[in-house]
Amino acid sequence: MNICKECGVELDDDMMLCPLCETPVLSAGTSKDVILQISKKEIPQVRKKNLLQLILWQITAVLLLSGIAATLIINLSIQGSITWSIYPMSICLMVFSYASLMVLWRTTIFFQVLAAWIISTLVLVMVNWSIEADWPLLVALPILSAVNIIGLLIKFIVMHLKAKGLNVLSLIFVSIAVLCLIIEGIISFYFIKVIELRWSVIVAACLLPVTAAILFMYFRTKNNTDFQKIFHT
Amino acid sequence: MSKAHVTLETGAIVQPPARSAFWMRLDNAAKIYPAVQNEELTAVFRLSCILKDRIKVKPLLEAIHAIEDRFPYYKVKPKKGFFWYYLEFQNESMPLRPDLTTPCRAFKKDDLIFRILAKDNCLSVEFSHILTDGGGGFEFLKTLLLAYLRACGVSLDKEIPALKPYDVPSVEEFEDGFSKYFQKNIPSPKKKPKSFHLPFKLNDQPRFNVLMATLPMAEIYQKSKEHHATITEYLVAVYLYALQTIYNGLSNFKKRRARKIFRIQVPVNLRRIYPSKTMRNFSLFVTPEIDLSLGAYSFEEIVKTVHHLMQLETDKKLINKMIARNVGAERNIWLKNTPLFIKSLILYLTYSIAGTSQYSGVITNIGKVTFGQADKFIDHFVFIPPPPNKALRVNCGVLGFGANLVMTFGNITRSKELEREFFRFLVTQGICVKIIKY
Repeated sequence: MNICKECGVELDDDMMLCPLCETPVLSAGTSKDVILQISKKEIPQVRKKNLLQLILWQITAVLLLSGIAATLIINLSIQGSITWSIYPMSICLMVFSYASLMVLWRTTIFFQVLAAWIISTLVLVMVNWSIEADWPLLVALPILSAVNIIGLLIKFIVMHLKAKGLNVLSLIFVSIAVLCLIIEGIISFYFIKVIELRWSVIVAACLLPVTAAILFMYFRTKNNTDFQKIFHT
Repeated sequence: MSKAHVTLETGAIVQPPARSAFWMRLDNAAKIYPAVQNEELTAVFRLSCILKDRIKVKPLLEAIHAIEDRFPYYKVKPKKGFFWYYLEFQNESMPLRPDLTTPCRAFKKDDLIFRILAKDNCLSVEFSHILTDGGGGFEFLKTLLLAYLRACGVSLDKEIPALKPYDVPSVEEFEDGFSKYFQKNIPSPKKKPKSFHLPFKLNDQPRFNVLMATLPMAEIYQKSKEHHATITEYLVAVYLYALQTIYNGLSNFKKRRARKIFRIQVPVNLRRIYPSKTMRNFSLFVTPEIDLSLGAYSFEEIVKTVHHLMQLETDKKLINKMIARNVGAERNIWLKNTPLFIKSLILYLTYSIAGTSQYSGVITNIGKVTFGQADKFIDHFVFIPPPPNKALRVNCGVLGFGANLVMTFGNITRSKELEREFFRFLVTQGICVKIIKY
């Protein structure tokens, strides 16, 4: 007769694990290798995922850093100083900061994005200072902030969705429409000091019926939904 | 049984046999819980059976398998509708877990809202109040326990009154008793003034802790009879007396600020009043009280008051009034047509502000239980009430078995003063109180 050391319940002789808490049974017939094998069965999958992320990050890092080096060398060899290369360099730096923080910093998505946003803001401040123009702070920074906030919102909503399918696609379409409105608003305010929306309204107007159609299809096909249970009063 | 759809009073459609999909409305008592529950205020209660022998896992798994299809109305998950939450059947196995942490923990979002727990000699079930009350939960435990004993090879010659594992669940078991016995055009009971609350500081999270004691049934029965009261009435009187003692110990400033009405919420199993077989929530409360603004009460005065108030309030006509108030509110045209997210906010705010403001404490007495022939395998039963909220702070569950009564105090404060006063008083009455480890 075996007794689980965690739950204290009585187990049958042929049980190697407690069915309640999955604690391995330490009986004479169980070798330590078997116990180790059972208790570590979940670990390889997690490691595999992390390894894949790391490889992707390494590839991204090589591409971005070599891009920075290449543009810098070309710019310096032709113009003799840093001029146009500041733009691809700063974009590569910002993308690199997002990729690195997402992969290397094990924290919540909120803090990862916040840290990447702070680094990107510093990059934009530097660009602003080096080219002596105000658009990096007055246009690029607000757009970057809007993209971050909408991205976080999408992530939050998707995390809380029980069924993920066409509803995620419709969410992305709505986000694109909102982002277009925000981008045009920021640009128009920068140039004419008034928020005047033109093309973004057309984009939104086109996307909304598409979203409605996708949502309709989603609800029609989702588990043969019984509307009475959803709308009962 | 035929596969024909069965329409309940509630409007939900049930398709026996048990494994087919169905959904149910939340019953009247359950409607508040999805809006107010959280990690601390879990609305989860526990019923435990402490056996004389260590639990054997294999027969337990066989017993769970045997009753798998017997309680389909518990294999449901709460889902959000547009106006109300509803319960949707999930064809999942009943969850058996090791009993290793704090009792009455909250259920995770995607879990079934009941669980079976086992540790050493103790077999427990925990239910969310969204599903059922102590009466329904105990019927489930009874069936599980008998199935377990049979799986252990125990032969029970005489029939023990419990639901049979292989019977098809009847439609009455699914029903919402409140809606069934609701009568229109009955006036609501009068609103009661706010009552005294314990002034103790709250524990750090996780707050909930439990203190348990056994009392000899014969002694407590004898004392109750001396005061011409039932055991429940006697215990409620002791509770009120302990609260009065705590009040008397407060500083003059705190006394002046504290409310003078001491009122206890005592759940009543309505299955004993109405001929209902429902396995869902079907209990309401009577609220015996004393008013200290009239002066201090002796224990004899408290017992007398509690006895008469409880006899009066358990009258069927007054219970009908309470059902009419609760179901009437749910059927209010404005409330029922309000979208769920607004409704949840209203319910949350209402509960936060006024939820338990009318009560100083709760005593739930499941009653004396017996399993006939199977009694010899059981040491005792325990009922742990759901963690009390921040206003109530302490509550109490009572369950009698064999020669003992087991009392459980659920407490979220740093003080054990109420429990101390309660048991001290019983000891002064000559009742032997033994604190036990859970």
